[in-house]
Amino acid sequence: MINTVDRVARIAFAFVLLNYAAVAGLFALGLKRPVWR
Amino acid sequence: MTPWIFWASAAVVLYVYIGYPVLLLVWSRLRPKPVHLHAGEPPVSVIIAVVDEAEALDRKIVNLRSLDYPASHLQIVVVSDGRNPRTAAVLRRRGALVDAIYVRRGGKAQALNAGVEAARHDILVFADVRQRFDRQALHGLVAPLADPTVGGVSGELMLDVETGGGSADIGEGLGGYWRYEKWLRRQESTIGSTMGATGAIYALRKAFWRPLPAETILDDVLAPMRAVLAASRVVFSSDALAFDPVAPSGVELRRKIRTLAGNYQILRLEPRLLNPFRNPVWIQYMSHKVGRLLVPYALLALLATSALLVTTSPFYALAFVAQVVFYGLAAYGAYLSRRDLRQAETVEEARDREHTVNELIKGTTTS
Repeated sequence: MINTVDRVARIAFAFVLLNYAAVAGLFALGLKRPVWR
Repeated sequence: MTPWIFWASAAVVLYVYIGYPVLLLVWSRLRPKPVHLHAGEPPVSVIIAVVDEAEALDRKIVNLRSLDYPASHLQIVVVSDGRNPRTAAVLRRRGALVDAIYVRRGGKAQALNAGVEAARHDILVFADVRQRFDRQALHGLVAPLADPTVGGVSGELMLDVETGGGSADIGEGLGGYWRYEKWLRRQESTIGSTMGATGAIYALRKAFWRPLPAETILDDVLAPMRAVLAASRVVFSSDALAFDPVAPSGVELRRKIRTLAGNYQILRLEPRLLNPFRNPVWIQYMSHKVGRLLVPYALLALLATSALLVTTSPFYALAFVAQVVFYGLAAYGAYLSRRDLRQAETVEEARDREHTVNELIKGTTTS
């Protein structure tokens, strides 16, 4: 049960992280921060 | 008004994550567009832009030269963005295996432009230094290009968490997301084109290449989408594999922010993508790329409106509670992620200490 909750929590964290990155991406673009991969 | 915003936001989230995949599933079953593959070994130019990754570059050159592909048909162009001494040392040592170019530090897009100028062959293969190519990767990339309707091919990036490895704190969630993302790309490829390519491994006919604006963040979306806008197809090949480890959540978040910033930028660089009369994959582009940009705002609106409507009906109360539970779980997931990172750092520090002690013991016994 604890393992399942942990697993779901990790997936929920990844979902939030990946989706809200779009907001941060818009800010990053607005601030014209240099990006190099 | 508030209920309307709630339902519109719910519709955006549900369409992007459930409705669109269902649409793709049905579409790909009803109207698949097959690709005529041909196993050949046409000459290709592999282009890699590097900024300061000497060790990874050395590994990458060795990896590319060990692929199952005739050396005489494989040109490797390495463009160094600026003259970093360690990168220069690797390029000197591997000089017989690659065409090395140095450009004034100006970003990846300019480095790629210089690399394409130096490419001798009509098929360009783009790669990053970090990811290892599978031995058959080039065969997998060039086979679909035998079909004249295909202008570009995206390879498949395999994360270590997908192959049972990896220990990144965010591995589980990211692995699931990446499998879902690749499934979408496969379906989009089946009905026409993917919405860009995987930067780690993709091929493009030189005829479709146009120099990238210097500020371009996502060359792997802009260059392939220009081929799509020119009425060609960009398809996904699961026979062209590259492998990559998942990084810790902080690094993955920075990469994701960069990708999404690039998705905003590309709408400015190539506004034809938003025009249904110019973009042959407009529905897919709006659903997949633009939809993802809208989702976080829809999620925020969903939370705010359900909070405002919580006293009006049990449904909205339930929706609000469900979201609070979800975000609570995500916060707990963030805590677990940080704990994993701290533990990994502790193990690493203990290893370093043990190594130092061993070195000291060795020093005292040999002196």
